[in-house]
Amino acid sequence: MTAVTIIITVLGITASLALYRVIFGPTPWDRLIAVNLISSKVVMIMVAAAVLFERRIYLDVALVYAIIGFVSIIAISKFLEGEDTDRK
Amino acid sequence: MIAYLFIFLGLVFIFFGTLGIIRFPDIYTRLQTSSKCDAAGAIALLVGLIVREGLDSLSLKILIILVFLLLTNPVASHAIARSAAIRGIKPWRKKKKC
Amino acid sequence: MYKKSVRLVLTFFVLMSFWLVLSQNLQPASLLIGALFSLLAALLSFDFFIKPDEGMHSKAIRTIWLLLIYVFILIYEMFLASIDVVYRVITMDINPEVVMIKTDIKSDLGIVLLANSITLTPGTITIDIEGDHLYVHWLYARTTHFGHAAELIKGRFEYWLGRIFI
Repeated sequence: MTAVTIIITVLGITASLALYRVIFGPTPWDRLIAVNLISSKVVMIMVAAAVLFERRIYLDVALVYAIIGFVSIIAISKFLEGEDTDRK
Repeated sequence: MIAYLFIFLGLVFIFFGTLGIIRFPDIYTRLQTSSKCDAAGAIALLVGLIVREGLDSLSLKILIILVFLLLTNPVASHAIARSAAIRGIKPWRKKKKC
Repeated sequence: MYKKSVRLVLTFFVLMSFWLVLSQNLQPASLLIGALFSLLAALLSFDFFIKPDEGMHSKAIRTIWLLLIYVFILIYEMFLASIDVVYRVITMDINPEVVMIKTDIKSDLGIVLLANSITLTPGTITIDIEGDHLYVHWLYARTTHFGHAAELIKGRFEYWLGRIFI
């Protein structure tokens, strides 16, 4: 029980440290990097919970969350890239 | 025991990777820590969990998640860096001592 | 150069093994549904899952062994690079530069793998690719010389990838 608490607490603390960059980041890309980091932390928390609490269903949730996080990061960075697509 | 060693290593990498995001001065240097330390931390943490679980169907799924994270993490970093470079963000440089 | 049916069957088996790992039951109904949808997805996507002129060597078994060796080298180098980055986070001793390097690998898959490896390993990220020139951001630049930087960054990855892909 203690190992579970320590792992999930450390991961949660690092995720909230990254939240600082989401709030105060000067440019949109800083916020995007921090959001990417938080999403991968959430995936790791779910995998740890699935193994340590013996709940298999969390693994499927983690896989789907990883896929959605990746697609949203790519979509937002393409959106921030803007309209000058002539640079090829 | 080996499992907890791996998990501890992963937690250390992840913690310093997040600390680097707060301390470093511009986008590209922040991206460095976020891509490298995060990938290495994910490998160490998930391998530790696999060792703790033993070889069965659950650890096979964890392996799939690990491969997926390893494939997508550099691609996401590359996409963010490329969009920032196209919008004309200049990299931070160290001031030369003269 | 691969035939169409070979590519279709290969894609089908990859998708079906994913279905078996993810669903984890062996009842006939589940197997039937999995086979049906794997066939459907394979028909839609085999054309860009395995390109007809992918520049691989013909021996598939040898390619898989070399890829496994490459992955272990990559993980080892990644841990070294992460320890280096943790040291730089603590001491803030950084000297970032953008350098341009040139690669000799021709196939698209090989260039993508090389760019991903460069992003994951020695304190560098790939920013942009134009043809076979890669723009690389380097966290602690030891040199800005064209050839020397390429030698330091690509290291042994290009040697191994050159053995796998042409």
